[in-house]
Amino acid sequence: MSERVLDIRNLKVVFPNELGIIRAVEGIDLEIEKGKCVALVGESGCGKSVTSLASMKLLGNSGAIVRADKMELCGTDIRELSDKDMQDFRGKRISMIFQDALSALNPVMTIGKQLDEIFIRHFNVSKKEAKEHSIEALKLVGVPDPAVRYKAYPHELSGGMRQRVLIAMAFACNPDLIIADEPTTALDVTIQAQVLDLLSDLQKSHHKALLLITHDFSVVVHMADEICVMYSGKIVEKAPAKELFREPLHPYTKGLIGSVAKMEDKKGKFIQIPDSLPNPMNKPSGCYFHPRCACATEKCKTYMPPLRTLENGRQVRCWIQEEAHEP
Amino acid sequence: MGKIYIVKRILYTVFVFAVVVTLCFFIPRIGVDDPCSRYYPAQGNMSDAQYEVIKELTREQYGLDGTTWSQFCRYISNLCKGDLGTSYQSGSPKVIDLIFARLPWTLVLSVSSMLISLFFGMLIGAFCAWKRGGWQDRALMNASTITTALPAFFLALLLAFFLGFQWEIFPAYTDQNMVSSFRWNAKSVLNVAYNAALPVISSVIGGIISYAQSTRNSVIAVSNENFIITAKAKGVSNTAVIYKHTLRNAMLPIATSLGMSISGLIGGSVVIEQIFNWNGVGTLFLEANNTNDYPLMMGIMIFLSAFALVANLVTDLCYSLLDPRVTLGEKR
Repeated sequence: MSERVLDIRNLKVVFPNELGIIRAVEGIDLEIEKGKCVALVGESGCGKSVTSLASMKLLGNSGAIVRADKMELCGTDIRELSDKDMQDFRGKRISMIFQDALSALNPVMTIGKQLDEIFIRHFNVSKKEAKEHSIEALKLVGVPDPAVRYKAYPHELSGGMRQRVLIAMAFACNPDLIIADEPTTALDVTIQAQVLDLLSDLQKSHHKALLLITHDFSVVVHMADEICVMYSGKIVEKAPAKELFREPLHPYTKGLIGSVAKMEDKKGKFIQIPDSLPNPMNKPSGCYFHPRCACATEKCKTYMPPLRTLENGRQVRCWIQEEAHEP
Repeated sequence: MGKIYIVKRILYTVFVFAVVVTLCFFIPRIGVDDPCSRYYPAQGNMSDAQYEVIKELTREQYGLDGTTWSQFCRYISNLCKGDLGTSYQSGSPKVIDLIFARLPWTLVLSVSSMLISLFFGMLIGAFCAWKRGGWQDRALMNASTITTALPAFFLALLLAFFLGFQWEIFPAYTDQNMVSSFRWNAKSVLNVAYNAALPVISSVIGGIISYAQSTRNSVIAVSNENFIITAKAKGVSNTAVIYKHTLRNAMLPIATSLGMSISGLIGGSVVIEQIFNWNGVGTLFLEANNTNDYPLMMGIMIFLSAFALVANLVTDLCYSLLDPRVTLGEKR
């Protein structure tokens, strides 16, 4: 039995401003089933975070215009939900782990009080009961001396501890979907591994859906079931994690995987993708990736390739693959 | 660590105070060879011996006998007993009594101005932050440009001219019987409020605008912080986000400027008091200045600086209660 926790069709997010329109997300589809981990991978600024904020409807007063053909969270259409109704969802059915735990926690409130807020809001419990729940939640994420840490302020904890607190917050109400937005970017590599293990364990043991957002392929290797590669607001490749690593189809995915250091690599060189993301106000014609693509053809410069589903169920947006599979 | 810091901070305050006292004592004496010959210029029909006797008597009476150093030591030892000396005014009143007689009247003006500015400033500032970019917000910005460029005394003169003299809504000159006839009853209190209206209005306009501006800016800055999104992502209602997360953090810079205005509570309204002839410490200081009443001038300056120093000390120590990141002197 597979149950879709998040089902988004054709999500578009634009930010109009005085200079023009920033097209942050251009029609992406995203579905996550219960117990699965989907990774959304791409460079900074490709629209990953905007996608995640849009699926929690947290883009409210940023001036963004959000359109989608379908946005279902646990079977409920959230497109027309009022902000008040959405508040019941946030934290309880869908929750989020942010990247910079120091700025994501209120500096003048103890972490205990910040955790209590969730239980008081969603479970209608007394302050005393909320405290018990909070200490339990801290224990779950492996914070030592949870009763002492309960009274700590965010600046008194180490980076890894702060990230654990954020994870405790995300799992507090046992939500159906957890979005982790670059959960380890601000951490040391050793702490990164601990936090990722924790996240992965909790996700598997609680059988939760996890949307993992990252720019770092090494993070998703062991965690994700499915990977969506995003480039400049569009999904360019979508495949089961193992297959994607074995045989990346899109030149951009190849570049991303090539830029990760490997043990068996003897060449002593990283593969680099030249240049950087196109300006979101002034995207190139044709395939957005063609100015950086080594195998770009004339067709790539004029026409945007469609996201095509191959026989084995993988999806890729590239003319070269299109031609290779043409009958 | 915290206790050591507090002791250090208090010692530092005492040191600054000692410097202030020394400067207040010596600066008026610079360039004055013999204050007595200034007060009593030699008269034509007086022999030198007689004149010397008169000068000696004057010195003794005003505490100017002995070397400057011994005068200083005497002044300091009196100061330690809480005695700021004797004024040159007729009847030789104690300086400290003169200050304490005027102090409540200054505080009536400055404390009420501060509270009104703070209350309305924060209200307007929070509202403008909410209506960011709207006409209310732009109006606040323009108003702040105007009030920054327009000194409070000019505003006071305009108000005195229009509201006081032209339309006679409020008295432009404080009723001189207000202080002597004051009794704790409704009529007296109303009379004080009526007389204080113009001075308070003229200092409050700038105050409201500046508090509003800083509230607006810090509310906007805080509402762009990541932890506001975290709070929203937890499902916390908008009202709770504003009261528990935004305002609490936005209060911090406002507390700083409040602390600074507390230290200016007594000395800050000299000009306004003078314009409206309000019998406060500021007017007393100007009187002392005009009559060369050195003990009174020194006394007021020392009192003002002591008040400002204590206010600063208290605000600094209280700040760590508001913001847990501010630890008292701990190195991290």
